[in-house]
Amino acid sequence: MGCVYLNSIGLYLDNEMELNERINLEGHIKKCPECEAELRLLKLAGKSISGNKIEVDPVKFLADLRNRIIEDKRNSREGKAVINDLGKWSKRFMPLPLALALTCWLLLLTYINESNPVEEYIFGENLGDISILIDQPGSNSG
Amino acid sequence: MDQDRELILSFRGGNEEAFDMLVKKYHSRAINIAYSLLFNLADAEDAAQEAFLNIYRKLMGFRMDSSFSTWLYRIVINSSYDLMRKRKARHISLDDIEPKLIPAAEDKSDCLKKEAVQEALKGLPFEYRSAIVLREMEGLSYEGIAKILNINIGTVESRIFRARQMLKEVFLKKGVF
Repeated sequence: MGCVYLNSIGLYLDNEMELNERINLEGHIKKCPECEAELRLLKLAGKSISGNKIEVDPVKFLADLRNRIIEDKRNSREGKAVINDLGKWSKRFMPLPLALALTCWLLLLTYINESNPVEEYIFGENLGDISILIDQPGSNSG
Repeated sequence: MDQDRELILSFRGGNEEAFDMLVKKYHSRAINIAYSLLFNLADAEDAAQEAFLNIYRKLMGFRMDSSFSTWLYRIVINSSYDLMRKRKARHISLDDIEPKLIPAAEDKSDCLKKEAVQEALKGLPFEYRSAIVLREMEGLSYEGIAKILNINIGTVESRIFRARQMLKEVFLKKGVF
């Protein structure tokens, strides 16, 4: 296994140690080739990451961003306009479904009360005639 | 920091140019963080622009509990993460990295090759990558990183430690060191 201080080299490098711990570790690193190598390695890795930088044209970046903001504002306005329009239309046509439901209900009532031929045939005159024939005295000669 | 505050207040007062000044001040850092997380210039610019757009929308309501840069970095990392998830279906190889990149001016003779660094960073989970990038690129303290990533300092410490171990393994495996 490696040196016990090996895992603390990162904290030392990042300056995330108490001062006394730092001083102790600094003394140790000078004497420990393993820790010294680890420190060198981590420094190199860190420097390589921080050196991995790019530069972009700030004017172009800002211009693109401004276009994006304008587009976003327009979309936002259009979105709000659609919602407002929907609101207006829903208010305007609010009575329509109510009126439609009422009309359906009235039509259904009319249909039930006035035009049910099956009901008429069973309970109406035809049935009455049959029952008269059955109940007539003397009709059953037995 | 006070300058950021003044610019924010000025923007709230109706001065749109104050926002432009904030963009000019931070755009490079935002793009570089996004680039270190996404490895593609077009995606990095896209993520940075999305982050600034979000900031523009929310700047009126920014309570200034944290510094502007902390807020910005958090949004950039979130934008980068969202973009990475969107692009996950598309395989990003090193060939996708655009040739028109302008490397930073500093002398990097004592650095590892850019490709090797990117390849190694790519192998890290996103949460490790964001922690190590904030540490190495921006030189932020663990406390600052914890605020940005909304995690505790112990978690930052372990993420950075693991990220370094993983990077070291890759570099040693490839014989870069």
